Amino acid sequence: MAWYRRVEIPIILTIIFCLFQVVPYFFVVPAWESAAKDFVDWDAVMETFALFIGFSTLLMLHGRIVSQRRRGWYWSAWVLITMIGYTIVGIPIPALGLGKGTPLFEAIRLYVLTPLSGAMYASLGFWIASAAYRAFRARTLEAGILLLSGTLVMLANAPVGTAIWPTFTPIRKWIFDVPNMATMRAVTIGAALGAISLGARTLMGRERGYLRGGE
Amino acid sequence: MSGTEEKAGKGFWERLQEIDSRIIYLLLWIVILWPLITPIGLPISISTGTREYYRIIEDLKPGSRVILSYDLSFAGLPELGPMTIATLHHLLSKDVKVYICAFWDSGADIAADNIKALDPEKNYGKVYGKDYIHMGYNPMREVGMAQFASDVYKAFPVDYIYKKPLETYEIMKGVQTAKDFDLLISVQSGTPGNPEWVRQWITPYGTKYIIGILGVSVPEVAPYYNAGQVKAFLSGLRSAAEYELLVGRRGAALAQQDPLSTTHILVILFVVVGNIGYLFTRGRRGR
Repeated sequence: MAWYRRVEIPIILTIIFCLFQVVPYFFVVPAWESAAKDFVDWDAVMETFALFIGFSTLLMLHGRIVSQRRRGWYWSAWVLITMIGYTIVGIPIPALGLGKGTPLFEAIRLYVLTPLSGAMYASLGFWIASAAYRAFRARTLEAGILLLSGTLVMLANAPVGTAIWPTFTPIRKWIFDVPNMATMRAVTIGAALGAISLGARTLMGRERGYLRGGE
Repeated sequence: MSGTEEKAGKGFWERLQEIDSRIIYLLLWIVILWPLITPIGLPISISTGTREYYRIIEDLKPGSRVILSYDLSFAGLPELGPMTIATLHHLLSKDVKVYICAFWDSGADIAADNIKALDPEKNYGKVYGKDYIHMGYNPMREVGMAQFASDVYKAFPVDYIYKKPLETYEIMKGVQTAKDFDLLISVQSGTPGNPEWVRQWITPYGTKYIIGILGVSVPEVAPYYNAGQVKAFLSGLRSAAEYELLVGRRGAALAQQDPLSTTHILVILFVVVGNIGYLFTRGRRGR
């Protein structure tokens, strides 16, 4: 295998750049800190390249689906049309009425993108209503407790609940402050410990999930 | 057995369990639209959390520097939009310097819309670049937040409205790092959001920090609030409505409180009826 294809190279680079970010957190070394800040700027450049790669990948993937007329190819065609169309509209050529801030760009953003995004999120409400009727069942004691606490929190959130009985508010506070807090702290601390072990494994070159799927 | 015979053989509760989803959706539509057309005007009590959020902004000393970060998407706008504009209104009503920024691409546009809607020059006597500034969008998420904390001008080289170098504005005099700000407010609908701000700003620099979040995010944020990292938070439309009452600007959140009540009641009714049906049919299935 050619030397530049060896898996050790990205591992060594990862270790070096990880150390550059971790060390200034514990020690004050001005030159080191300055270098670490420069590497953060590099990240911006790399992310811009990643955006370009993402755009090209989407083009290739959906382009192939359309050209081969695979199942649902018209959805892929729509993705390509909207993606390329909005990109063209966003190219900064004010003389042609293109670019961010121009009436066409702003009209698409305000009257298409914004309501569609809101509608996607709002449609969850209908799923929740349907799920409340069909799926939220007190099949076990634990499920019953979950249902009861959920109902109490909902009653505290809605003005009608607190108008009927103001004590719903302190009940909600207790639910959030005691059982929820205990659970969320356990989850947060567990996730943090996991992140520390992942970091340590990465620093030691033992974590290879980010390299060609761990090969 | 034919479908009709099968249906006829089922009891009331069994049939109720199999109700068409479209009926549920229709009922939901009705309970949303009805109070919007004929508002009920139920009283709204103001919670301690909302008072804390209001008080922190109200107690800012003249000349304080406040960041308002729009970390939200268009999808989160219906729930977070009212509290965002109410917060900007509150800040513009006070003698403080407002630094607007965004770590979500749509956030910068939403902020620009809010500025346009409030018209600070006309309605508050504020001057762009002197009393407030829109620094724009930083696409680097958590890394961008770290960059913003260590060097404001690297994170936001030019402003969003006129694309001029940030350091040319009067409001930027004496501003270099996170230490130069008195309060950070982030209205957020996901990642990057609260944990990222806490990691890059609150823990290393100790900046005072309050947030606006979606109703579903309260369980995640509660431990940060109890630990004192988040000083106060608004959650969802209910808190936004309470805050609108406090700042004296009646907006979209107050208008949506009646549908909020009716939809919550409907969902609770669905849960109750669904469970009664389940209990009855479970007994039958058991036999």
